[in-house]
Amino acid sequence: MLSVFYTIFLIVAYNLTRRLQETTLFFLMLILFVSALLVNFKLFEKIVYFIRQDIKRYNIERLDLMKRLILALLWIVAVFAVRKAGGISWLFGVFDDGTLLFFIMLGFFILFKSSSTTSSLMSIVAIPYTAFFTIYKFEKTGDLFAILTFFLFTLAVFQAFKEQLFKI
Amino acid sequence: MNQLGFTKQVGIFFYEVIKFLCWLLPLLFLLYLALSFFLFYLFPDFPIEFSERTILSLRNFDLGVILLLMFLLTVVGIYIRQREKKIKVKLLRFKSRDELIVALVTAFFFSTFFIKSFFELKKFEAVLILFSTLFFLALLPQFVLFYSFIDLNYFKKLITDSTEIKPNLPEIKYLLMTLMQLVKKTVFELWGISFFLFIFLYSVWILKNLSSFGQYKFILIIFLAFIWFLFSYLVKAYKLIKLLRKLIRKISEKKEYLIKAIYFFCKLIKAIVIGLVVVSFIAIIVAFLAWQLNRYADYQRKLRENLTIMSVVPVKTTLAQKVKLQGYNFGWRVNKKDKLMSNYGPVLVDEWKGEELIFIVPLHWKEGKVKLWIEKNKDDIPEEKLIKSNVVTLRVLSRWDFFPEEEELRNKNLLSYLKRAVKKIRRTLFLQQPYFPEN
Repeated sequence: MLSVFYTIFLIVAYNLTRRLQETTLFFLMLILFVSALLVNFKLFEKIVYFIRQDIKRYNIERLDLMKRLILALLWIVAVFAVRKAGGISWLFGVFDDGTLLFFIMLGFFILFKSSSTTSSLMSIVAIPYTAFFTIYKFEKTGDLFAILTFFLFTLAVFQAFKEQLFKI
Repeated sequence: MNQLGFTKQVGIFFYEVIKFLCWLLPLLFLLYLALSFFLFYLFPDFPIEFSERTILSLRNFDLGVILLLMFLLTVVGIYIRQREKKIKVKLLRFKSRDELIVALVTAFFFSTFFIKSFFELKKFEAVLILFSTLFFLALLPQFVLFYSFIDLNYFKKLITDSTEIKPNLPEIKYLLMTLMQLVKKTVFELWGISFFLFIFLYSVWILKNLSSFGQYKFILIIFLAFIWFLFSYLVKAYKLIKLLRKLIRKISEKKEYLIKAIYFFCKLIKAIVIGLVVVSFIAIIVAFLAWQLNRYADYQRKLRENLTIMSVVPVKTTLAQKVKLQGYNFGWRVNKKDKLMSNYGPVLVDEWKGEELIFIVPLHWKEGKVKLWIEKNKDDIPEEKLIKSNVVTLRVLSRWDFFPEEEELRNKNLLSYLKRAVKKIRRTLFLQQPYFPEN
């Protein structure tokens, strides 16, 4: 019941901030609003829970987790740097920004052994952002999140296949 | 502490700070870079100008140099830790296949980036990339291990000074509670004493001036008696002296705790001050480096946005030789007024490209330094303002500094051969650059 009231308050507060629609601050407001909505519906909480479950399933220790985080950081820097230098054109030449971001996330998914549930939940998180960015004419960001949603769902499907095949 | 001991302490402090910076700086830079890139790609509708103007505007070469510097710092850090036997360098320490795959691809990306940024190779690029991929694959696990753990024992020791006896926490808690009770009682008792004094003085004053109150003097006496009764009942005046005695006794009993408390707070203040000094010292170094990096990136961006000559290749040449100017925003030569200028007037340009100009050194130029700059019309309209580039210097040397004289060709002695050899080397080094376009 409380979450219903919070949702109502959020929508009312957000409608007040819509007066700032012409300013750059509005973009931040929009992100905050959608994030607050998702927090209210406990979506982030569920993602964190499933990520923890994935880590628990594969017995990844704390130090090992830290190492994987560092490797993921190096992975991000390497991908962006090589793209900036125009290297590996057969791969990055055909990537749009959304695909590139998914490629970055792929490193995280591999390193943290994400399950299909985690991936599908993340794609569900990306949907409201896509919707709101598109509604409020942030076309580029909207497209980016739409591409991310598509890739995350596809990944979730492939992971589900794998889980079924290998009975993980 | 004698002077030698103090110098040793300072030396150890700087050694530890450098060790810490070897870990902190690369990690901070990588985080900053990753975050800037990530936000840049994730929110194209909300560009963060600061990052775009600074870190993201670095040339690939500059970014490569900075990344290499950071990796070098990491290697220094790994060496120090290995010497202290806190880390063991092992090749290919991957626990799982996933880590190996990600590390292999990361190594491949890094090597491609560095090779592409530093070299302009066509034939051996693949071989170099392969070798450097293997090199990075060997380095990455050490980097990951190094970054994932930091030893802060020295700074902890420095702040808490473990050699001294520390009062334990329950003792401090008990002490603080006793102090609170004492304060509470003291305040209450002080209030009682002051109220007693007030009533006493007021009563004396009334009794002294009793005759002036006339018919109200009996009412005043009754009122005073009532106040005294009330005070005695509330404050229990008969207990007042007893309580004061008890308080003094308690304070003397808790003297030990009080000393401990003072000692504890002194230590706390000392730890805070040392901690603040250490943190500020490191923060100043990091902030200074970040400021310099951002300033350099901003300077590079400004150069790229303006008509700028970055380099003259070769910087030393002779008459009738080709010279290449490299830089930004040369554009295409669509206006006749766009020209390359020198001390000797306009220069005939052979090739005019967006970021490159090629010309042959005219025969009428004299030996010595020649200043060169570009004059270009804005927006290709003749009436518009003429923009000038920065001025660069080309050094024109004598032709005989590079080519053999007639006498040297004629003589067949050792000295002339040596001179010819030196000139040949000079020609190879300065004039015959492999990237000149062949006619």
